[in-house]
Amino acid sequence: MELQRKQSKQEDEQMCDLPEPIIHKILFLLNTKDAARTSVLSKTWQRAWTSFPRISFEELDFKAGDIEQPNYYPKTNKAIKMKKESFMAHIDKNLQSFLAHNSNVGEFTLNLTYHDKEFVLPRVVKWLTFATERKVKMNR
Amino acid sequence: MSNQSESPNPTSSSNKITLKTSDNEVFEVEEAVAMKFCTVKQYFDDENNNNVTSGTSTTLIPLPNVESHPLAILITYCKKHLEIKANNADNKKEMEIDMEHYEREFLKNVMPQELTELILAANYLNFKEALDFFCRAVASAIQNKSVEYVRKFFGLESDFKPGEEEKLREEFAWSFEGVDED
Repeated sequence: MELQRKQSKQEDEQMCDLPEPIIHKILFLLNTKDAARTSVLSKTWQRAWTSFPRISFEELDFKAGDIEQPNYYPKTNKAIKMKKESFMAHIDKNLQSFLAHNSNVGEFTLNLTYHDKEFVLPRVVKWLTFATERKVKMNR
Repeated sequence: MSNQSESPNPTSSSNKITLKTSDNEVFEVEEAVAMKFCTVKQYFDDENNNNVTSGTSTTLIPLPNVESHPLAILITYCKKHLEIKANNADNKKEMEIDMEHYEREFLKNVMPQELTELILAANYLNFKEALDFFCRAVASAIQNKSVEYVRKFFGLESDFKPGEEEKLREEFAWSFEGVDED
């Protein structure tokens, strides 16, 4: 009796978890930020996020769109630089994680407006190499 | 209703198909409705290929993975979908407007838990339009919402080991900025 109840409870819980292809369908309808946050919901959602074939990096999500200016306070410039650094560290880390999971990437979006070419360009080249090696559909 | 077998109907458009759910409820639906459920259509076509000569106009199709509650809602949705399509056969724009209006009203009567049930049923039945619609509804409902809100929405509980969730929250801290208050 107790076992039966336990079993049916387990079934009930499983009912709540959607299959991975459906979670992916929902994630495709969300923006990157909303989609990323679902990975904290449960193990099923976290796995679905790891295998989600769309990689998208938006500097807006990191509020990293500002550009350092000589006439800004040094403090402001430092804050801008830190945001950019953390955005790029996030990209590095996530691409590494995709490599580790050997996930199939179907779509790769990179949105940035940096003018600081020397600082950014080598890394962008590295990321784009990653994307083209996987023959993904490029958005930007 | 009980003597269907005595009134064979040769026109396929008014043929009825009987669906039996996992909780043993029986639904009699028009063929046009049932054929929107690709899983049913597949079953129906296979059956027909096997009994070309049997000439029966009513088929019973078991749906072991669908309960009566979501099926009833899906049938209503499907009927309306076909009706709107038929009414606006030559005006795609009008059809979209009518459909949007119907779907907005439809969602007012659906609880979040039902939405999950409907998605699973639509997925099993392979009813594409409904599945797309329900996924869109879910996506717009959880947009910019906190993890707690979304868990409640899906009836989920955290199944992470202690510490795991905190680590994830730290890693995804950037995605938590500016979400709506519950």
